[in-house]
Amino acid sequence: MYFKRWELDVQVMKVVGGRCPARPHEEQLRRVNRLLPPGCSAGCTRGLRDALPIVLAYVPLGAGFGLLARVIGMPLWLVGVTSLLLFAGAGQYMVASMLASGVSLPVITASVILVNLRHLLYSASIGVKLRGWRSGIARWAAVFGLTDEVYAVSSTAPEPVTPAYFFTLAVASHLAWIGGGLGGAWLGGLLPAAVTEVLTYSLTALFLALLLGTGRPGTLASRLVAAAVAGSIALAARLRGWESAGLLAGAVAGTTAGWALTRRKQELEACAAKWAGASSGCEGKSTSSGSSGGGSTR
Amino acid sequence: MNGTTWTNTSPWTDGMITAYLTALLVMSLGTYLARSLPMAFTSRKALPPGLVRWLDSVAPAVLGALLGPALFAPGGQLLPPWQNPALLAALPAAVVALKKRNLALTLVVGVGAYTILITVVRD
Repeated sequence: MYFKRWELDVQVMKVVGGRCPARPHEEQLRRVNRLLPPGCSAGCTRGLRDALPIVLAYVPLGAGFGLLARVIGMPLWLVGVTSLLLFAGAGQYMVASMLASGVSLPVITASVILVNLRHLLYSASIGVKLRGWRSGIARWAAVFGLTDEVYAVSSTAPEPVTPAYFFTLAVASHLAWIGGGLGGAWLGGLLPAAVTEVLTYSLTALFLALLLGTGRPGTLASRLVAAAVAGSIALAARLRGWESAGLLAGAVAGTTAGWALTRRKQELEACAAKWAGASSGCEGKSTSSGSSGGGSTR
Repeated sequence: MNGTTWTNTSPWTDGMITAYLTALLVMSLGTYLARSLPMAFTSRKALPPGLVRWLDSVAPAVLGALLGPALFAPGGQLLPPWQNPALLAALPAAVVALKKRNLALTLVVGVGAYTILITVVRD
């Protein structure tokens, strides 16, 4: 049974395009398969597994938006349409709270687009991972669901980002977001605030787990430097109320810091290899790069 | 529709719904373009290797930028570390993430520690 599903996944890859995922351990796959709906391929299995923490957090977060929207009199169906079309946590909270404080629609529209400009960076980064996909239309459809969390999970996934994997992850997250929104709008504040708060913390724990528990072990130092630079800038901006600008500026600065450190490390390693080979010509290279690279902060 | 009051709890009129839907379409399109256009370039073959290496560092930087405010200023204001359950609960979660490299276990430890801490700190 599990073998058939693996075969199915390969067939899906051939049709939709994309690289073959690594074959999962058979016993592990057999165990997981018992819990899944029939017809779920290996990529779909991974997608569902990785979507679980996002789903757990999106239901209460979406419900928060639904509740806010109902308070300002938004019809239930519009809550659903907003969650379906916009699919942006911070953006939708902004819409509801700005409408409530009487901000005009053009200003709200411009603010939401500005806040969501941070996705430019996610899009550029995930594009590299979608390169193996054969279908261009699938790529354009996939990035519709590229929220902060979907990006964070898919970009740090150790296995290749196949269409089956990405669509399962994005669609499950989106359904949880829409369902949460409708549920919140319909039921109101039935979920106690403490429960919502605890479930929301699962996002923080998820980010932490992705930062520290994924990626190649040799890259931990540069990942930590990138995160620390980005986190300090985002925190400073948050304290002044420029949350979204801080997120984008912090991410760009942190990326550059991490990149500089990685480059410096590679140069030093190349240098060490050269020295081990007892040849010369290393000094000139390292001094010239030392002046240009900004990664010597360690 | 600039003069409309949205703050009342009465149902929206058709005019309000039309105005809102128009605005929603524009902001959704803007958001989608931000999510799609850079991908259209970076998913093609020829990309400078330097840029690819730079893009490699986007994920940890984004995670750091999301974590910074969430850990140190959970409610939008800086909290002293010993009164900050979000930061304190992150410590065991970080240890588990580093040692075990297990996503589910890290989530369970982090959320569990947070649950215990908010009941302790609030009392």
